[in-house]
Amino acid sequence: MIEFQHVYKFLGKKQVLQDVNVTIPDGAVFGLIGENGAGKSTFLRLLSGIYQCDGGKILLDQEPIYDNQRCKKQILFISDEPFQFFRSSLSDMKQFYSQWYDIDEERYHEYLTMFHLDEHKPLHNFSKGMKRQAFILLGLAASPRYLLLDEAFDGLDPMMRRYFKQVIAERIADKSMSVIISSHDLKEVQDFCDSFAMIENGTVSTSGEMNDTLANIHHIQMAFHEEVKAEWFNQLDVITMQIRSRVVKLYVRGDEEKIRSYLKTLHPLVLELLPVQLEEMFIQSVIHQKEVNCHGI
Amino acid sequence: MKQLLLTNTELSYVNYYIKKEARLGIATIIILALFVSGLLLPAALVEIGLTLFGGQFDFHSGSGWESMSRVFISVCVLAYLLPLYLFRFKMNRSGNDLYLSLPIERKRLFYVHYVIGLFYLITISLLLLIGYSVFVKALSIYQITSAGSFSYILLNIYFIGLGVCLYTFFTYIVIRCHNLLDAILMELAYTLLPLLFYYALQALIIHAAEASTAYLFLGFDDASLLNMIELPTAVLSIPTQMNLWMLYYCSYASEAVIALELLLVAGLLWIIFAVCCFLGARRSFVRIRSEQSGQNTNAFFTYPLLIPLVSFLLLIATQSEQLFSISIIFILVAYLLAHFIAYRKISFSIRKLLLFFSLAASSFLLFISLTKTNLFGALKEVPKLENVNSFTLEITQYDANNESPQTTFLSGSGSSDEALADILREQAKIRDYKKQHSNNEFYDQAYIVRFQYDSDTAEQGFIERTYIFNQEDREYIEARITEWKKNNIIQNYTV
Repeated sequence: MIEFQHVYKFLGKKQVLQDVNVTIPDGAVFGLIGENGAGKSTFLRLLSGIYQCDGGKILLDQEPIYDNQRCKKQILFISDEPFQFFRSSLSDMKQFYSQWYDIDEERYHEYLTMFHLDEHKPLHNFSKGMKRQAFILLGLAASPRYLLLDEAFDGLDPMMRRYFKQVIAERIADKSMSVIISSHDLKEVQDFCDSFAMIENGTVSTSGEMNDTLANIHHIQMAFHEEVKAEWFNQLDVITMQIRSRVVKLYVRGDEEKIRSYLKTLHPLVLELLPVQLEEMFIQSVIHQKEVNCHGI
Repeated sequence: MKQLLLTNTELSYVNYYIKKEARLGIATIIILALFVSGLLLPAALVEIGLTLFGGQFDFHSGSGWESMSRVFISVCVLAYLLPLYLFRFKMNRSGNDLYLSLPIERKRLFYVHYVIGLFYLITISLLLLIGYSVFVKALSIYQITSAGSFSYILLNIYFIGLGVCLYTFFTYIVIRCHNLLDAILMELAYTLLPLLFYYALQALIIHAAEASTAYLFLGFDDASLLNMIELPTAVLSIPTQMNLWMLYYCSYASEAVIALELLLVAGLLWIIFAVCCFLGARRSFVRIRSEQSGQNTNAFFTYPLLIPLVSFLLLIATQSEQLFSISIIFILVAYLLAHFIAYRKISFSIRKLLLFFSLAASSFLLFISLTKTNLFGALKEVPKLENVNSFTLEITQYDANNESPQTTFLSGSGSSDEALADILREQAKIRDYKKQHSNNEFYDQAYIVRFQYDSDTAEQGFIERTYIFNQEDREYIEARITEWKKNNIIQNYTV
């Protein structure tokens, strides 16, 4: 199990992460979501020991990860722009990784066939998507305990995404491998990940088991006789709120019955519960945050 | 000790890396072999380059030496390039992502890459040396006698060792830099720095000596300050050490012993320096903040130190009445340009300008202090009586048109205390007159007066002071000469 305990990180003078507390369980797919520049890649680099945190601790089974060979042996990080040697092929990169990780040759060749990749072709002749496939393939063949994928499925076609998801699901099932991915594709994260963390303004705003968390979040739409006032909802744990004159859309965290009974006391004309979409919640959350920043609400 | 040995995984990685780069290694050997054999670069260019860097070679007296120096140049080139190649991964984000996420402690990762560099450096150097030796032996270019064999082996070990020290130093520099361009520039700057240091101090001393004394040439005999800056140069300059080895290898016993002593001192200092660099490089590598890769380099030993230091050296090098006022503008432009290169943006801050002008003021103050104190007492224009044994006075007369180079030759000599005291007094008078009346310029000379003293204390065994008297001084100097004749200071008289 990986734990982030009160982690702070500055890049130059900019504070990228502040007081991050997250637990990443074993044998699951963990999704990191957030705006561009929210700190997802920094989170993964801290986790893989590339960056050192400026405050707090990052522990793997209670041991600090940074500059710890034993911990790092269990983690493999594939960045959004993986490093490749001059004129190297996938086979060359496999040779390199096999110096440090136990590459499963049988699986490696199996995946090569599955993904139709030529291991001897120079990587610089690969398209962006093929390069991505090649490195994810290497990561999977290396079978680390934690596979970290930055912008995991960026540039992959839908077929390849499906294949990879399938392979990852198999590997998680048979070897207790955990995959930690960062992605902009929230629909995919919602479908694919078991747990997630949403990073906003350097902090983790929402995290936990995907199903439990989403079950505890409610997307509510209401209409009133008069103009809606924000303070009516002060008693609720509101994640985002979008007011349009007499109509309001809310993402609220908490017990559904309690929320419903409270809202009824406001005598709305219409009160309906909509399906919760991570993507919609994320967008509303970002908009809400920007409004707060602009107007100081 | 155990920590310094590589583990099996690390050794396997070293093995893998060397195999991976085998083609590049072979290409390097071929290029360097072509260079050593003289097929890549003409001898004249190598000779000019070495001379510029402080070497004074006479390749004709030591046949085969030119090729040998090419082997050592190759070692230096490898020492320069290897750290750039081996640690280039830390200069960009994706390289950091790959290498710093590997399951190896940073300290060990540094060792592994350092060892790979050492392997390349030593192997390629040995191959070049063996190839060179076979080539020389086969063509009988240079006879390696049995007596010379030991010094030949010693010489090779010394220069490979020096290559290792240089490689360690450049490794430190490269690790302190955040991007490849800065690393290349910093290596280049540190290669040229000793040269600039030497020439700048030499220029300062000569200019200060010219300004503070009345005689014409700053001779070796009284240039103890010059000697002081030549010693560190001998240590730092690799071409100078090649000179010393040539002296050791080709000279008579007494010179060879001095050369060897100097080389051993230099070697010891280089080893101490390399150990410090190794520890510094390891420490810096462990503390790398990988988020800084690709950013501007701001470590103290890079731009923040070099820009003011190089500016200061340039300022002191141009300290003379004719040069300073013009050169300060050029140096200021270069100073601002260097800041632009360092920070990749144009920035004129008051702090930077204040620093520059305080450097200029300091260089001027240093020059004035040297001038007013006769180079902090190191320069004695009129020697002390107890330091001289005998003297010779030579006077050369020119005609009024300054066309006939020499019409009259007068000379005097003496060794008694009384005669020596007289001549020292006369030299002091001449000095005072020269300081008040004229400068030393050739175009208008009427007389050249040269005082030469035999001395046990002077490095060359003699002290020499030469004064030029122009046509306007003719009356004064002729009056002095008449008095010298009258007082028997001039005893011989030749026409």
